[in-house]
Amino acid sequence: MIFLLLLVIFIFLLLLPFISSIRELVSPRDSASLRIDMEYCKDPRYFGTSFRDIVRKAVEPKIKNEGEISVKLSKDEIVEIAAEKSIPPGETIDHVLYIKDRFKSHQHGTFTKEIYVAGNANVGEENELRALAADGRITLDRKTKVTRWIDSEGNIIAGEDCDLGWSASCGGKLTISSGCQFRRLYGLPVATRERSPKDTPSFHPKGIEEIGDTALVIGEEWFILPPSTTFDKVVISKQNLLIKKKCVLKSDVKTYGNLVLEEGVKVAGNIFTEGNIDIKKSSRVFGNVFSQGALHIGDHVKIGREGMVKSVVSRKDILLCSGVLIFGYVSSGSGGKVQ
Amino acid sequence: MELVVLILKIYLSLTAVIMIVYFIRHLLFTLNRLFGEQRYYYQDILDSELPTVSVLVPMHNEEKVAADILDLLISAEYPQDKLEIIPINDHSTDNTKKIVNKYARQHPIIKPLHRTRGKRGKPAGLNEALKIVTSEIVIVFDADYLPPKGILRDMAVAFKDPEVGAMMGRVVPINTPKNLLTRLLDLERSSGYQVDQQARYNMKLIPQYGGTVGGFRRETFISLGGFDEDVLSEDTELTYKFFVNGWKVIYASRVECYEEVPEEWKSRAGQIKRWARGHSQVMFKYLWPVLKSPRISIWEKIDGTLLLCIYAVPFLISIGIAASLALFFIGEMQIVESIFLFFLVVVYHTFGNFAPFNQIGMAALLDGMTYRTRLIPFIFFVFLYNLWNASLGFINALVDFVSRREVSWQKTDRFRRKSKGMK
Repeated sequence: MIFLLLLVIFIFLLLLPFISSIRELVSPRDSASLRIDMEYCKDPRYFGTSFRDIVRKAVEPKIKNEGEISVKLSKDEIVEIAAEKSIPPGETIDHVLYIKDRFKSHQHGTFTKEIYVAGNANVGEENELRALAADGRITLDRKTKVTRWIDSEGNIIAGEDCDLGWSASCGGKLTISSGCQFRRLYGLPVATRERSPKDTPSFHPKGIEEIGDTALVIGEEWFILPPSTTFDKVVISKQNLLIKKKCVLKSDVKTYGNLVLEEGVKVAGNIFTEGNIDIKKSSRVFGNVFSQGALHIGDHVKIGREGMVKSVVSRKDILLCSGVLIFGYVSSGSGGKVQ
Repeated sequence: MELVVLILKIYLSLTAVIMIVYFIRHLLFTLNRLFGEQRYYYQDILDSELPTVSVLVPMHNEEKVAADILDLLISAEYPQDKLEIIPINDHSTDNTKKIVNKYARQHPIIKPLHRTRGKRGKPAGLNEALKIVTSEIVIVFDADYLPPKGILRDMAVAFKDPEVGAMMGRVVPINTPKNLLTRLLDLERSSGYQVDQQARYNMKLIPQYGGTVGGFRRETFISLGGFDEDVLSEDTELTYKFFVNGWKVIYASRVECYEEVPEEWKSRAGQIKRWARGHSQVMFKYLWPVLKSPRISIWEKIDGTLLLCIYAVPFLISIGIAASLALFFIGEMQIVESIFLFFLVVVYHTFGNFAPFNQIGMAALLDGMTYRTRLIPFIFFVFLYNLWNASLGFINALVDFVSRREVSWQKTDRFRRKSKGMK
């Protein structure tokens, strides 16, 4: 009897770890394949494009109406349809706006839902808006905060100290002023406004072992290319790399550490680094710039070229100075700022 | 007898050391995914100047799946003037040729390669295709794969990095709900990609090119000698070929593609045996080049060596278990040692190769899939199953190495009921 009891206990203990397994096998709660979006394609203007599609499909059958209607977007929403709209100062709008022509808001407006504007959109000072898609130009006055995204078929101009949310994209030129914060930008080009000259912070390289301006120095920490030198081949440095003034690199550059491009350097190819990148003023990069660290882009730096799309991607912060032109896409893992 | 006992004890100690090393390796991978900095892949790079790409799809009797992958590839978003799709019909005896030709007539970017002569097998087929393609980048998909629309761009952009020789995406089983085996393989795949491959990429070690959902630089690879047609794991060989010559292989978790995993244990056994045999062939070929290569960092050498030996370990453990049994029956297995060995087996099983309780659990957590972790205890049986089949595969590789015999390619069975064209 005792033997049988022990046997039962033994079998129970043996099966104990498998009870939950057997339960999951017999009545599965989590057996589906991991989801892959088979239609996914990288689109820097995805938010705007997809919102336009949804809102047009839902609203256009009722477009002749003006005033508020109830339609199903991603969920049931109240949509206000208007030919034009001017929002008085300090007003809060809690429904979706569908504006057939121009839109203007004065200061301190709050918009908790999306806005679609078929014409131009002028957003006043210190507004807070969730998302805005405009077929015309978008102008954001200073200190406006976007919590999600803005997208324009034309140009976007963002005033000082705006927060551009997760994504600001347009089919034309995207101009951003000093103090603006962002995560992703897309414009042809993305441009930072000129401002009065002042000292610009940058990564100050430490431990550089220089012996003169004419030497190619392979130091313990830094590899230094002398100024005004031309390199035809790909340059790969397994340490930090300092490219001195007015060097011309006709191919790609990759570093395992940090990278500093001094004034007036030209790189015809792409730049990849495992560390930080500091591109000093008036340098020119024709390809993409990718950093697993932070990125500082000095005054009047140009990246990419007209008619082409290139990217500036940083896993950490991006700091853009004044007069910067980037033809294409900018993405920062932990946020970017215009100095 | 004393000498035999001594040898057995030394062997057991050696097995213990190997298990501790692998335990540390896989624990570090899990901790890296949990607490470490995660390196970015390059999918965020948008570039209007993309390289020319040839997509190679090796096919041997693939009538069940051929139309599906071709439908998806022709609708892929990639500049058509920079893309060609080359189905490699490798000695098929079913309707594969007919299906491929039908697609080729309708879509000029499909340029089939029909092989009826020469050695059959994936490496031989790829080598022949490499002779006719002219693109900068070659991307390979097995015929049962279902590539999403944007995948080619996400893969090709990796080669903007001048040091990248090859890249590898993530494989996700599409037939997960089918049965216990497919569900367990789904857990294994999650762990292998979500934790193992990503951690190796983060830690700048040796992420592995997996032979499908992967791409490489055509000209560079040809200059390195192309595929060795006598090696069954052409993917592992490519990985090491690039690394010992100073190139990098990178992993892209975001580049995801569905595959069909085996639905029958027999088929799975064949797959494991082939992988173990092919991988071990590469071990015999590349262990010394990896150790002496001046182009590989010390950490890459350590990880590269451990990765090369990974299919030898089940064999070594099996011998270790036999040794411990022998010692037990001889009466030389002291209780302290046997508990220590038992502890190591548990630790190895828990954290080491196949690593269910940390890597699979972590992968499920990262993927946001929690209830499927309830199946983890069943992985114990998979461990035993893999131990046996991988050991057989390793023995085969050992015999291949000693006898220099010719090996033949064994294709994994397909289980898709009917090709629907996916459209």
